[in-house]
Amino acid sequence: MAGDKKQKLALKVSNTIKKYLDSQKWRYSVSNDQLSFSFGITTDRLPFQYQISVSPESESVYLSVGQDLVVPHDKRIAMAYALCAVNDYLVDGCFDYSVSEGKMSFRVVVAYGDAEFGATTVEYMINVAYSTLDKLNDAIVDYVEDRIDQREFLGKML
Amino acid sequence: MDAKKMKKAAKAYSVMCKSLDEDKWKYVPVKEEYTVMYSEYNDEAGDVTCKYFIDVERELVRFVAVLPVVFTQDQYVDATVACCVLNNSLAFGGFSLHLKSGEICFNMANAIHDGVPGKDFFKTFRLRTSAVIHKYAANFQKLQKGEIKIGDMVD
Repeated sequence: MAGDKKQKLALKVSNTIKKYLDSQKWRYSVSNDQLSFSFGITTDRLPFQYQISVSPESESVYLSVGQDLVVPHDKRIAMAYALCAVNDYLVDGCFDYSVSEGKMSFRVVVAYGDAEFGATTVEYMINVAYSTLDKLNDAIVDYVEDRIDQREFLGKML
Repeated sequence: MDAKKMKKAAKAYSVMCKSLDEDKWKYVPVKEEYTVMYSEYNDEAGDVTCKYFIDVERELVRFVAVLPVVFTQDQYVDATVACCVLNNSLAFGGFSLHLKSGEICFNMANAIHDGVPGKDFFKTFRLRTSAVIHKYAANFQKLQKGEIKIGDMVD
């Protein structure tokens, strides 16, 4: 359990996130400890689940975006190859991918510590995730759902 | 370039350098690029080249380390799966494979859109990058040499 000072700071950061989400008129659910927010963003393909969590211990805000997509066994290695290479050219954020489960998510983290954490940073985090997924998700879904082959998939991703 | 961003980057860079100086860290400053270069030495892995810098345009503190290991193309599957497995266990930053060179990189970034962080922030940031490098650099080398398996790389 984080100390009182860290807990207070985390709640302040969490309040900033809440205010931002409210300003956008987004519907979200919030955890009992008020430190985690969940909401969905629907695209013309699969819906994304966003989770923004404040960690008092590490004084950081984690944004994780997942989707209900399971990569079939025979495509899991190609997906690992593609996502690992994509991570190499991303400036911020990282694809996390469980090769054994075939599930992926996208993560953006901001440590606040003694830095200011305001609405601009919340917006930035959401935009980084959204723009990265918007750029790459069609190729990911098309490959998983057999609309493109491995060669075309890697060509679009890299 | 946006003057406001330049001013912020200059201030952030100054705090970053002060934080390194306080810890008596040896580095090479490249002031005009808001960058410092240094080497993390690991007993097992050797020197890891690190670039720690302020990304002026994007308003980010960034860190890139190139591990002293090169995978051959026939080892790329192992390298990429290893990166994925490790990234799943990391809270900050991520490993990636540079397809052209076969090198493994560790990248970490932190937005500073709402202000310039203090020395504690930069110290924590560096400690986090350092911890990851020291924990995993040698394991990537061992994987490349076939001395360990991917499953042995995580706790």
